[in-house]
Amino acid sequence: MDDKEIIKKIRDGNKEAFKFIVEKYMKLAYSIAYSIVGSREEALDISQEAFIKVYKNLKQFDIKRPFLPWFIKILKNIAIDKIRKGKIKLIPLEVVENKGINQEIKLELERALANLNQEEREIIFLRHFDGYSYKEIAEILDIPIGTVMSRLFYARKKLKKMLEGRI
Amino acid sequence: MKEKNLDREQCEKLIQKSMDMELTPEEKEYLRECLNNPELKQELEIYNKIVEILNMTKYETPEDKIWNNYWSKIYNRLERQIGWILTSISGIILLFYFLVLIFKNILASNIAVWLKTVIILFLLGISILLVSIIRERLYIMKKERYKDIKR
Repeated sequence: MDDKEIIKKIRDGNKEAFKFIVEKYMKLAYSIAYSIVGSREEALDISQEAFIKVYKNLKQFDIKRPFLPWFIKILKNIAIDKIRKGKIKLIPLEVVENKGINQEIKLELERALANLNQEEREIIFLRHFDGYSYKEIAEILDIPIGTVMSRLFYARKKLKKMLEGRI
Repeated sequence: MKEKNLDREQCEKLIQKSMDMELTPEEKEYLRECLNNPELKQELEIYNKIVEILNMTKYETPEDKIWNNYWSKIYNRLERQIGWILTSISGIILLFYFLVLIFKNILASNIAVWLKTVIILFLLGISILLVSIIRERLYIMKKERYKDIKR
């Protein structure tokens, strides 16, 4: 069942359909919110708020357009709005140490990621931490594949500049 | 010179693209030529190292228990919001009903005129405050309802 079918069912008052869409996109929503705010609790809260907002505004959604980019825009705007209003305090991203990375590299990476802008951090998260392909990222963010490549290129170039000689 | 710089950027782009396994056969061939340059070969090594670290990295994710309760949290939040809206609307209606009732009773009572006036003024003041707050809330809702949705 594609998103359009699900959205139609939600509009008809089908609770299970809403549950389905929430469970389909909750991890992606969390990932994007986390790449913006850097806090687990805030990212969870923002992602849940985004689903609630989607539910309330579903009548305004143009069914001919893809659902996911619309949802991601709502999610990002909630996060940015909260930051702008000072409702949440931005904290440095924390990466969980993994096999093969020592503490020093972990700190350098966290610092470098914190110095990327929101778009760059988001693309790094989607590509490397979540493992999405160029095509999938293009669909999620509703941007051309060329833009995905270009954002990734400049994000990694920036990371290279910050990490060169330190790793 | 300009031509050479452009080529270098193109090579760098292909180096990055190769790490994502997204190269076309023509690009692979082009990259092979790029890597004849020792500087670019070194560049590839640095990017490989960065990508290796990124791919080994994980960010803080909630445990399964949180994901299992995720839907019910959303459902509860939605339910509570609906509850609040219904409570607020009925509360406002009831409040106005009682205010009118009090007005009527005061006007019909035998207390001194000056006291009647003060009580009515007091109730009027409260009503104006309430209307003002509601109007402001409605205005904000109307003006900023979709502020979070940029199309």
